[in-house]
Amino acid sequence: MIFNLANPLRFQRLIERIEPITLNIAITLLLVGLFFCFFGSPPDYLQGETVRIMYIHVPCAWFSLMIYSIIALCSIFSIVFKHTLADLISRSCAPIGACFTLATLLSGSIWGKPTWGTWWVWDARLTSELVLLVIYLGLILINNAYEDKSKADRYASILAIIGIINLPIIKWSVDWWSTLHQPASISKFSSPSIDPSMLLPLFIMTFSFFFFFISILLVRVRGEIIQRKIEVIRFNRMA
Amino acid sequence: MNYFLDFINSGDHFSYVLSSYLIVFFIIFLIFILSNTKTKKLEKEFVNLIKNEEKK
Repeated sequence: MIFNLANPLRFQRLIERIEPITLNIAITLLLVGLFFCFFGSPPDYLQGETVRIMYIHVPCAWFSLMIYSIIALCSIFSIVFKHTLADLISRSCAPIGACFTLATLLSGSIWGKPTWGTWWVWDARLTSELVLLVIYLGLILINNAYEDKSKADRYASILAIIGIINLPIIKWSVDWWSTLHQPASISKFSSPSIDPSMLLPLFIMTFSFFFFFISILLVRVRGEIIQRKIEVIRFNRMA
Repeated sequence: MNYFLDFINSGDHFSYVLSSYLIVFFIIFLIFILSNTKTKKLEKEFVNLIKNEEKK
């Protein structure tokens, strides 16, 4: 099954079937999530109403890391097995990951103003997340810098693998250094230090963002497959 | 409903929350629309290329 899907053309057929389903699930979950965010969850005793920013900031932060992990895995797969589909997924993920990272930084900055009294501070968590955005931008630049796509994919894979070092720094920066950013509240699912009335909208929004990510990824992968087909036709014409 | 009414009347906090939601959704919908537009454009280009190939 997996090896069947590793063929870009079969994968494209599967994408065309899944794409509208994922988008519909994402929109439905978003509407349900927004209802729970504003009607079903109480304000925080300390942060007040600004705690509602958490329901979009935290999923964005999780996805900024998850998407990078996917890129890193695909890059390793691409370098070891030289598989086109890994390159296509990696290439398609980079702009989505950059958007989620930018959303994390902006929503976090807006949350920081009423909570910490400042928009930005060069704190370990914030700085490492900014470094992640720079790495994403680097990947996008490399992917678009070369006409020879295989060369671009190889260089982007190398950068993505080097950039893995930033992931544990982002995750554990709040434990390793004294930071203004609070430590993780949902590190243990058995006893999270967050009330269930706040946990529910957080998880619904996370699932909604997950399906949005899948939906956007499928559209972009389909585009990349078509672009490669166009290049093959043009190459054959020239030959 | 009480939570929502309290939120609407929360003054400064309301604007912080609203602006963060608007920015995040704007970014996500922007990447979604840009990705869709790019793919549709490529699909069109591909169909045209195939048509030209068939004519030849």
